[in-house]
Amino acid sequence: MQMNAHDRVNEYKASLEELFAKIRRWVLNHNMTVKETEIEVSEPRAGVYAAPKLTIYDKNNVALAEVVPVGAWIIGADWRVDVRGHLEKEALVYWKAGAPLIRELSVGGPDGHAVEKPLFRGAEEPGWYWVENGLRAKARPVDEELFMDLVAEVQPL
Amino acid sequence: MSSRENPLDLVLMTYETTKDCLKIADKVRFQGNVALMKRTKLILLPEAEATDQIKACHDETENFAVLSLWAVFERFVVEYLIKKGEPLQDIRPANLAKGIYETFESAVERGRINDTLDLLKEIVDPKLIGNAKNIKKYRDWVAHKNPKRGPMSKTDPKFVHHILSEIIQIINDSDPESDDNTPQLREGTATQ
Repeated sequence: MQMNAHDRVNEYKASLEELFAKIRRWVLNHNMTVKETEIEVSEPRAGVYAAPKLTIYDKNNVALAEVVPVGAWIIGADWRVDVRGHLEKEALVYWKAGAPLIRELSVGGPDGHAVEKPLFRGAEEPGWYWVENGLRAKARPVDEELFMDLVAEVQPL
Repeated sequence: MSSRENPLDLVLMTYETTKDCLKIADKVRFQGNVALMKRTKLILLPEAEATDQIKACHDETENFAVLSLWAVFERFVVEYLIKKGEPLQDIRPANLAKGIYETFESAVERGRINDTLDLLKEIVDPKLIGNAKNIKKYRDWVAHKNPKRGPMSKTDPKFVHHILSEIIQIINDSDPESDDNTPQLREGTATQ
């Protein structure tokens, strides 16, 4: 059954809260703190809606990065947040049932023979992922180590 | 058009093919065909942002085409005139020839393109030269977007290609080294 826009936004927000709860635990292990605020997200299918945003601070209260909702209708995923710093940003995407399978013509196989492959390798399970390499279409589940690496990578705000 | 290759054709073909590719990309995006978008930067964008980027790219492609068409045309004109000046190297006394030729070459290479275009009025209809100068004004606005000068009335790559190609054709046909060997003043046909 097709989910309506309102339900999808609610599901997106619940998924954000689930991710943010993990992030709160992870940053505590590194003597960091977070502050949650709200921002407006605008999408054609849902209009403008409020969604939570996290800002991560170090022990001296210097803002290191923000985790910012991007949208609930991502072309190759379900929804997305960005880890944004002063210079860089890294996208985290969520797949409700793992990355979708697509049909591709096999290289070197019989003419016209199509095989099913995941849109992103490594994203078979539901959850939040970081796309490690867009060209190789490879994704990695977001865990504490990876998330803290991304915060370090994007440069302090 | 003479049998000589028009250096502007590659730019126009690139522009038109790019527009076609963007149309295909827009259709793929609209249909949500993620398989065709695999290994692209569009795949992780929100739908609306991908659409906006494709549209912005489509609009900017026109500007890039005008910039490229003008750059190729200007190079053609400069190289043509420098070649026409080569006999200056043979003048007597010979020890003056090098300096005179280098002065001429420098004036053509570094001079104002509008002055250079005026030189061509002897073989190209001045109306066409006027069209080319208007294209140059538009090209300058696209390149610098100086708000003090305000936006120029828009032109499009096909019109630019048409006008500049006509001038190139006249130059080629007027060249004594060309097939018909008849330098002549020809009237332009295009207006906008």
